[in-house]
Amino acid sequence: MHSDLEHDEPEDPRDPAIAARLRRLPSELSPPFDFPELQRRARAQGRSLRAQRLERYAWMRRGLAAAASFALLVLAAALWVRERTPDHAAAPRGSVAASGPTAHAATVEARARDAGDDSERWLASLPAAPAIVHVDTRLAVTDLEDRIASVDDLLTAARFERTLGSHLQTLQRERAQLVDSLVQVRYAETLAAQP
Amino acid sequence: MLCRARRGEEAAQSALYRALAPATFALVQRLVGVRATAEDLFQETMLSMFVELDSFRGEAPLGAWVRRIAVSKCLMYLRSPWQRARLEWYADAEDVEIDWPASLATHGPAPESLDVERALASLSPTARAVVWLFEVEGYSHEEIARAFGRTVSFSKSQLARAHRRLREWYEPSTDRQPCTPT
Repeated sequence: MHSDLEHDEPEDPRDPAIAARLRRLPSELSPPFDFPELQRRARAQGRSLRAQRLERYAWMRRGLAAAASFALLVLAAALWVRERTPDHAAAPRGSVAASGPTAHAATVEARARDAGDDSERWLASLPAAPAIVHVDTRLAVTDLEDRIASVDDLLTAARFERTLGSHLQTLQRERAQLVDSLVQVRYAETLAAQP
Repeated sequence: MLCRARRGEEAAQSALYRALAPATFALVQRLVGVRATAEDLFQETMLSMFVELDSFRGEAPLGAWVRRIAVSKCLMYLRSPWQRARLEWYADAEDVEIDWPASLATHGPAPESLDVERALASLSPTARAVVWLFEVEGYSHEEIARAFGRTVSFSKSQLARAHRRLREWYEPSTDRQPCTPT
């Protein structure tokens, strides 16, 4: 027996009068600042981001080292648990190498070493959070994502100011390193979440 | 003008800004509702526009291209975990704080516009973004679902919620039947 509660698709409640009212709203609002102010803000953003960058460098190195160690730890723990699981222990080594986590690991690690595009495509293909969430791993992931976003800000500001190529390349290298670390942590997280 | 702006000529960039900023800011303000956030996202949108001007191939009007950048920035903001947590809080809260666009006060909008702005501001950020994208920007449910990384049902239910809330705003409980016989 069906009841109204069983409908998961809501019936169309749209009100044409409301839609028309929304469309009649003025399509323009006076912007909060003019073009010279935008230029000033872009320059200020670039300066403050550059000042923060030196500080971030130290944090970044520490973050990268911590993330890499953590990824290795989780990877080792996950592999150890899988080895001790009867199904996997009994399985012939060849089949594990062909279709199990080792093959997957090789693929993912190869991807991680490739250009940033491949890594980012792989990262984008992952769900936002794994089925099993470990707080430490999540913190490492969030931290790395924040750092990547900060480097993106720096890149935007640098491009806007037509910064020298060498500066852009340094930022792009930093970004690639961070994406690489993120891939390692996410991979370890994915592996740890596998049954 | 576009070529000159691409070459970095300040006068051309300034003219582009003057032409595109009012519509872009209106869009951002209506999508996110909170003035301070709208200013930040508007700034990011305009900076991105100048940075990425070289990649604009003219397949669509420049204004539409900038609107796409603005929508993308706003949705990125609305999708972030921190904002999701805030959205849940908004959904649970009885009273939604209304943050008025300052420009409304300075430009003296028509009373009806002000009323619609008020109604729009009373929605949760997600519902507001969905109703605006669907009804005004012409996005389909599939496009909205993709943009939010959610299902089509999510888009439909958010739209339904927004319409219900807006209807309540315009038709307060005067036409409701009393619970007890008179």
